[in-house]
Amino acid sequence: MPLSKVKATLSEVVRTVSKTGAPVVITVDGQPVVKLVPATPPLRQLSSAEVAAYRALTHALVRVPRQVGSFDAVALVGEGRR
Amino acid sequence: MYISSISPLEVHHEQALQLMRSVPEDQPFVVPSWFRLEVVSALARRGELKELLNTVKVLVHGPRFHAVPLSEALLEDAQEIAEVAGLRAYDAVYVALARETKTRLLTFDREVRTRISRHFPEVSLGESETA
Repeated sequence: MPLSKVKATLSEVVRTVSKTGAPVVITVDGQPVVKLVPATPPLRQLSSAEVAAYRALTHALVRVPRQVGSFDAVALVGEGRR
Repeated sequence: MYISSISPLEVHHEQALQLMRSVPEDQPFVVPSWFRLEVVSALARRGELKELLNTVKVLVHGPRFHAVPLSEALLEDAQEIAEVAGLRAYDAVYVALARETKTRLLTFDREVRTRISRHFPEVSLGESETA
C-alpha cells in the first residue's frame, strides 16, 4: 500500500491489521519499505491439518526414549527460574 | 504443565494430561514468548535425548502454542496482578495473559488457584488442582 494512502487511512489500516492479523506492506515510490504487523497476532482456531499434525507429533513423542526415574516438573522448571 | 503432560514419569502426568486435553484440539494454548525456551531448557537439564528435544521443539513452535511477546502493557498488568494477589512474577504473567486473551488458565497449583479465585474471579480456571 502506498505511503500516501496509508497516511490518508491510517486508523482504518491499523484496525484492519489488528483485527485480521494480515500484514500491510507500505511502499514508497513503488518499493516496499515497511511492514505493518499486529503487535500480537490474533488468536485463531487451528485448521484440521494443523490439528492432525499436532496429534501425530504428540503420538510420536510417546515412542521417543526417555530418561528413567520419576521427577517433578514444577521443581524442574522452578530450578530453571533461579 | 506441558512438560508434565508429555512426560509419563512426571509425578503429575495424568492430571496435566487431563487438563491439557480439556482444551479443544483446534484451540491454541496461549503462552508467553519465553515458554519454548523454558520447556526445552528444563528437558535438556533433565538430560533428555536430542530426539525428544527436537520433536518437542517442533511442537512448541507450531500453531498449537500461541506465543505472546512481553509488551510493556502485559508486564504492567502482570505487575498489578502480582502485587494484588501476591503471586510469583512468572505466574503473574500467565494470569495476565489469560486475562488479556480471555482464555482459561491451566494450572494445578493450589496456591495460584486460590489467590486468583479470591482476587481475580474473572479469570477462568481449569478443574484440576494439586498442592
